[in-house]
Amino acid sequence: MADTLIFDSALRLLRDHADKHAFALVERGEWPTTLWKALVGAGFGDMLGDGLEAGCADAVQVLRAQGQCAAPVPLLEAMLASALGHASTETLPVLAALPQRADVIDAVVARWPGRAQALACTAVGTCMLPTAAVPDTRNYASEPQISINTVAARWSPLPAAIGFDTLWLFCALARAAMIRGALEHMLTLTVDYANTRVQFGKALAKQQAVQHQLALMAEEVAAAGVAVDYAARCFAQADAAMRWQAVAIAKIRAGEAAGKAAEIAHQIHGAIGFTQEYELQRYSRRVWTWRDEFGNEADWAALLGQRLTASDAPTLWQSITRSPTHSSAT
Amino acid sequence: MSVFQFELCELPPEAAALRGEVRAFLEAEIAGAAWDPQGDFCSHFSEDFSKRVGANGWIGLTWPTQYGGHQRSMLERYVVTEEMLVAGAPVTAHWIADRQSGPLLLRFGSEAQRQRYLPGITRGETYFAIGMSEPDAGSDLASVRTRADKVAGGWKLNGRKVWTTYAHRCHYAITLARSAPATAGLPNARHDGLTQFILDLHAPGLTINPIINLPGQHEFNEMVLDDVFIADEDVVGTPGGGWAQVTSELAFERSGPERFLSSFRVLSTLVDAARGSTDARLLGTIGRFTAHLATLRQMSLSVAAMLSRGAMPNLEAALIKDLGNACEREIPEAARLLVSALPQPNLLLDALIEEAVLYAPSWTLRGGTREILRGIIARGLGLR
Ligand SMILES: Cc1cc2nc3c(=O)[nH]c(=O)nc-3n(C[C@H](O)[C@H](O)[C@H](O)COP(=O)(O)OP(=O)(O)OC[C@H]3O[C@@H](n4cnc5c(N)ncnc54)[C@H](O)[C@@H]3O)c2cc1C
Repeated sequence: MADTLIFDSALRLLRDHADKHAFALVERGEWPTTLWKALVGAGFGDMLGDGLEAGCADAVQVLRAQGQCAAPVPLLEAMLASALGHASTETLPVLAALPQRADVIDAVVARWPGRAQALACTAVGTCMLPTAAVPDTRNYASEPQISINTVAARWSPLPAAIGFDTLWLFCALARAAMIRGALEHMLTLTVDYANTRVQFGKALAKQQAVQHQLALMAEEVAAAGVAVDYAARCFAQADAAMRWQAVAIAKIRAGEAAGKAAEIAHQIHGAIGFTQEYELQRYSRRVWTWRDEFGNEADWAALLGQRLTASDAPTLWQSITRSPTHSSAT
Repeated sequence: MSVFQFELCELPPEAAALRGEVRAFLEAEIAGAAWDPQGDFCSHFSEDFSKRVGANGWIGLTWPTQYGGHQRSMLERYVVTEEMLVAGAPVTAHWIADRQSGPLLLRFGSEAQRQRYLPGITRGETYFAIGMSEPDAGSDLASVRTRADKVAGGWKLNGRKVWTTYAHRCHYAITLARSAPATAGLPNARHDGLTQFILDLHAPGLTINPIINLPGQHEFNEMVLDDVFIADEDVVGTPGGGWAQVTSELAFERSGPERFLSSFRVLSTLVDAARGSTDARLLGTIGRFTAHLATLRQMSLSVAAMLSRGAMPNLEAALIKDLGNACEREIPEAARLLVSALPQPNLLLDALIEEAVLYAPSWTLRGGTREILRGIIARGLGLR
């Protein structure tokens, strides 16, 4: 299948380049030049050129691979800017900067200020922002960002084919896909650790309490994976209502899985997992970031609940059984 | 980590058409007050309803036509079962035979057994129970003590079975008994020498005693077997090979929609009761559980598709059941705390919550306990 091919090639490239060195740079607030060049060189910044729907399946696979490597690069933001006509180069990243909530239009979050150009995108439209030199915050994963006021900016309308709602929805799906990839790696890491770490004369994995925690973690990872796959399918194929619902579900489910799975992974790793040296933190800090971005679980759940209980909404069962590809339920 | 696989399944158009037929049938049943929507696949028994379902051709849907089946796909069967569950329909009489006993006979039974039992099942007239658990054999099923001794022309069974759901109204129970002592010293010796029998629930020597459950209902039973004769022709598969046969049913038993929809009607009624509300906690809870159930359904559909391709995804099935049971238990717990946030009191919701709270403890036990499922998942992960 085409999407496993792209997943595998993205994974190979990211494994080679998202290395200790790249993480050390980002930790110091420096831009991971080599990693970025490799990604842009391979065309991964530019996957949505034919539209979000057309590029969705492949982009989601690349973002999942990014999650599996915890690669510290603003790939989604570059993909979006490029889809809006502002492609990055190997030396100059152009990154979409979105607001913290969908309904905010007077401020956006720009990633890597001073290192990248920010293309503000809100419901009003898009505009290039002046380069801000000093990051004012860092996310949980130490990646620099700044909140920029956009009140005075001059906006161009969004292209007709890419409405802001679609853009926002894609961002939520992307973060869910990244979480999913990260959780998959965290599970492998934690299973391996439990199999090798010996206490009381046997591997941790032989303790039933540990086994059951890992089973729960596996359940969360599996659920996140299915929710993301389904949302990606709906994003590419379904009508607006169905696509919205599937992405909401994916962000809720993956976001919840992120918290539960990270908690278990850390508990099983003991103190080593709480160090900067050991790789688990690269993943947990990122899933904690991603679950909060573009709407957290509670935000999406309240919106989903609102739609499901609207006076003209179908029954819950009808909403759940609607098919992405047939007009009626299947 | 790719030890488990959940490829998305797309329901074929014929499943959509069938869903429409099943919905129309159920709506007419409810409109005609044929039964009150209630309970789940273990607790709502109606011979008349099962016969009507059989007459519609919806039992044994996937089985060969020569045995009364309809040779349709596993995914079509899926649609029928989920619609029935969500409607609170009285499916208990035919449920086990349709899900488990029939497929067992198709797979391991003799030609004579198939011809004898399957057509009645598909007509919704012949009902099966499961005679596995015993006072000293629960999760550790291989420790069953019911003895089968060889006699001329068949076997004599002695022992006690418990928790046998609807044994008092079914016709047969697939019963697991020890037909040979465990071969000492061999690995997995405990799994050898177990045999599955088709036990006639009206056989001489069999006494069925009610066991009243926590909600006060008579659903499960004790079965005392005192020299019950079972003819050779009612041995399922190979004598002594029962263990492999029992474990081969597990993916069918554990991955279906009944493993996460037990409290669906609590949630759907909560949604109806919440229409027009702006209470963030209420709306958020509805959104969250909908996300969980919709995802579980995709996982479960994915396993149904694997089963229809002949795969045996036991790990995936265990995963769905544990996750699904946890979710269906959480729903009434969350709903009861939201009753006061509703725009208006809702008596139906109150009743559904009460029913769900009372039955919930059984959901994480029946069909494999939570702890056993997690053990299976852990084995799949390579931990044991
Ligand atoms: C409503 C209902 C209907 C049923 N219907 C039927 C039926 O029709 N036919 C039939 O044969 N059976 C039926 N059962 C029985 C069901 O299969 C058993 O309840 C189940 O297998 C568990 O066995 P047990 O109840 O003896 O509990 P036990 O096995 O004694 O377990 C008690 C507790 O200990 C835990 N435990 C046991 N072993 C381990 C372990 N190795 N590691 C960790 N924890 C462990 C269990 O998870 C559980 O929490 C039904 C049960 C219920 C509740």
